[in-house]
Amino acid sequence: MTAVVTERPFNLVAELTYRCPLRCVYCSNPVGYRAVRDALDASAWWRVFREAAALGIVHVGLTGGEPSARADLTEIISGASEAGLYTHLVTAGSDVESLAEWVKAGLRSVQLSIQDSRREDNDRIAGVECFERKLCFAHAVREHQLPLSLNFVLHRHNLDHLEEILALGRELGAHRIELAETQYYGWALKNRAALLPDPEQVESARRRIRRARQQPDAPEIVHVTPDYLSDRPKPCMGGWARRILVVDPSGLVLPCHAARELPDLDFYSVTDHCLADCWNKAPGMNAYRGEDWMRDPCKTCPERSRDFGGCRCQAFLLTGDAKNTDPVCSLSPKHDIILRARQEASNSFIYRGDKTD
Amino acid sequence: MTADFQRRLRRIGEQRSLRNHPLHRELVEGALSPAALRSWVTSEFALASSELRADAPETLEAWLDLAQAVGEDRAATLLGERTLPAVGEACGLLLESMQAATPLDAISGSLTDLFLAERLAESAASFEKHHGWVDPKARTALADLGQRADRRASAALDFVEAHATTDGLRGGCVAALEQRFEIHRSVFDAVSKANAHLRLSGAAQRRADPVDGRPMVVLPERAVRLNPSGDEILTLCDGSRSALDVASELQNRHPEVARLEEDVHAFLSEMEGLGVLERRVSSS
Ligand SMILES: C[S@@+](CC[C@H](N)C(=O)[O-])C[C@H]1O[C@@H](n2cnc3c(N)ncnc32)[C@H](O)[C@@H]1O
Ligand code: SF4
Ligand code: SF4
Repeated sequence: MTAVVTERPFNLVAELTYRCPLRCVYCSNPVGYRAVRDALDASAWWRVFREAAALGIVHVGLTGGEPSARADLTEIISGASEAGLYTHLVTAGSDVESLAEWVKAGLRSVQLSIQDSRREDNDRIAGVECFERKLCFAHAVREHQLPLSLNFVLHRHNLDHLEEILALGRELGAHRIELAETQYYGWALKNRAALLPDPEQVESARRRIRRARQQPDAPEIVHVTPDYLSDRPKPCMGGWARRILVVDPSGLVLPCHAARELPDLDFYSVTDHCLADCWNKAPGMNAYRGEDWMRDPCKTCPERSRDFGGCRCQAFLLTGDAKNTDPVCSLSPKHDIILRARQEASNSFIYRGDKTD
Repeated sequence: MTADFQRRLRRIGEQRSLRNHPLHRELVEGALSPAALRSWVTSEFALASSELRADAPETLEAWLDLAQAVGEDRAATLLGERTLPAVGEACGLLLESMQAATPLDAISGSLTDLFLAERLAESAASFEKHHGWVDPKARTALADLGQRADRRASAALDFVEAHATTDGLRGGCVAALEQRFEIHRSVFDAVSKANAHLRLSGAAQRRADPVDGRPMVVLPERAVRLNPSGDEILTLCDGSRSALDVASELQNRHPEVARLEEDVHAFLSEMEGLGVLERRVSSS
C-alpha cells in the first residue's frame, strides 16, 4: 500500500537519547525506554539533518530524554544549524555549563521544563533535586539573549499554583509559557490516577489562565488542554505523519513519539533507509495517513478533517485497537473508558525507572 | 455635599485626563511623526463621532478641519477609513455603553470634557513650536474644540449636580465617568501601539521555503508562510518605522488598492501576536 504522499514535514523532532538524570512521574517517554539504545552518533545525526532539510524541514527540536545527557550535543547542534535548520533545544536544564558552546554552535532557542514554582514540589515531581539548576539555566539563556520558552506539565499537584507558576515564568523572562496538561502516554500512564486533576481544578485553571492572558505585556501563554476532560479529541500531531517527523534514539522514524507502542506497525530506521523513504514509504507511516483507515463514527463525521479522528496511540492504549475513534470523543462507543478514568483518583506516584509491577 | 461631589468629579477628570498619556506627552514634545499626528486626529474624530454630543455637527467639522490641517483626507476621515482597527473596536464598545446608559450616566461620562481644553491648548502650542508644516488653521480648530468642550462640561456639571441626588446615583456617575476615561485611554493606547517602531523579533528567522521558494519566517515553535505582500510588509519593519508608517508607505506604493491600511494593520498585529515582529516604544 503506497499512497501518494502529499504531506511534507516542516518540523523534525530529534529524540537524541532517552537517558535522563531526572525521574519525572509524568514523563511521556516510553516505559521501555531503557531498551532503546542511542544508535546514532553525531555524524549519523548530521546526515539526518541534511536529508531533513532536503525534505523541506525548516525546524528541529532537539529533545529526548535529556539531550544534554549526550556528550556530543555541541557537535549535533552545529550539524543541525549547518544544515540550515532552526535549532531549538528542549531541555530539563541540567547542563548550564555547556550553554555558551551550544550558542556558538548555532543554537537559536530553548524550551526549558520546570515542574513547579516551588522548590520542594518541583523536586518531588522530578524525583531529584534540580530546581535551582533550572533557574540558573533560565537566567543563562536570557543572558545569551536567546528566546526562552518554559514548559510546565500540569496535574493535580500543581494546578493550584498557577499564579505562582506564571509569575515565575515572567520573572525568568520567558516569551512564551506552555502550560501542558499531562498527556497520559508512556510513564505518565502509570501515574494517571495520581496525576489526574479534579474537573473543578481544571475549570478554575482555565478561568485563571484567561485572566492572566489579559495582563498588560503578558507573555504568550499556551494552554494545552487536558484531553481526558474534554469531549472532542485534539488533532494529534496535526494529523498522522502530516507535518511532523520524529526520529527516536535508535534511528526509528515515527509520526509521533508515542507511536512506537502501537503493535504491528512497520516503521523504518535511518540506519537502514534514507529519511525520505522512512517518511514516504514506511508502511507504518502510511497506515493512518488520510482517512481511508477510519471506522465509524469518524468515517462519516464532518469533524474528521479537523481532528483526524484524534490520537491513534490513545485509541490503542485505551481501547486496544488504534483504528478505533479516540475514546476521548463523546461520539466514540468506548467513551465510557474516559468517563471511568475521570472517576479514578489516588495519591501515590511511580517514579520513572522504578519497578511498575 | 454637592460641592464635594463636583470636586470629586473634577479630581477624577484631572487624574485621568489624557494629558498624562504617553501619546500626548510625545505630541507635546514634538516627537510624533506626521503619520502619528494624523492617526491621533482621526482617532479623536472616531471618538467624537461615537459620543455624538449636542453640538456634534460643529465639533465633527472642527475635527475634520484639523484632520485636513495635518494632511489627512477629509472624506476618508469622515467615512472612518483611516480608523485603526483597535480604535474602531474601542469606539464600538463606547457606542454600546452609550446605548445602555441612563441619561444621567451618559452625561456624567461626557465629563471627559472637563480638562480637554487644556490638553488641546497644549497640542496647539506644540504644533506652533514643533510642527511648522501643519496648516495654521489647526490653531483655530483646536481653540474652537476647546471652547466647546468647556461649555459642554459646565452644562454637564450643572445637570449632574441637579440630578445626582442620592449616593447611589452619584456612585453611578463616578463609575460612568471612569469607564468613559478607560475607553478614551484605550484609544490612545492603540495609537501609541501603532506608533511604536516595529522590527523582526530576535527569535525570528526569515528564509525561503526549501520546497517552493516562498518566503517564510521560522520561530522557536512555529513556521509562518507568507505571500509576497506579507513579505514586502515585513521588509519594511526594519526598526525605523511604526505600523502607521508602514501602512501609509504601502498605501502610497499601491494607491489602487482601497483601504489597504486596514489590512496592513491587521497583518502587523497578527505578526506581532505570532512573535514574528516586536515593538519598541519609540523614543524620540
Ligand atoms: C519528554 S521531555 C524531553 C526533554 C527534557 N527532558 C524535558 O523534560 O524538558 C519533552 C517535553 O515534554 C514535556 N512532557 C513530558 N511528559 C509529558 C506528559 N506526560 N504530558 C505532556 N508533556 C510532557 C516535558 O515537560 C518537555 O517539555
Ligand atoms: S520529562 Fe522528566 S524524566 Fe522525562 S525526559 Fe524530561 S526531564 Fe527526563
Ligand atoms: S467521531 Fe471521530 S472525527 Fe468525529 S469528532 Fe469524534 S474523533 Fe473526531
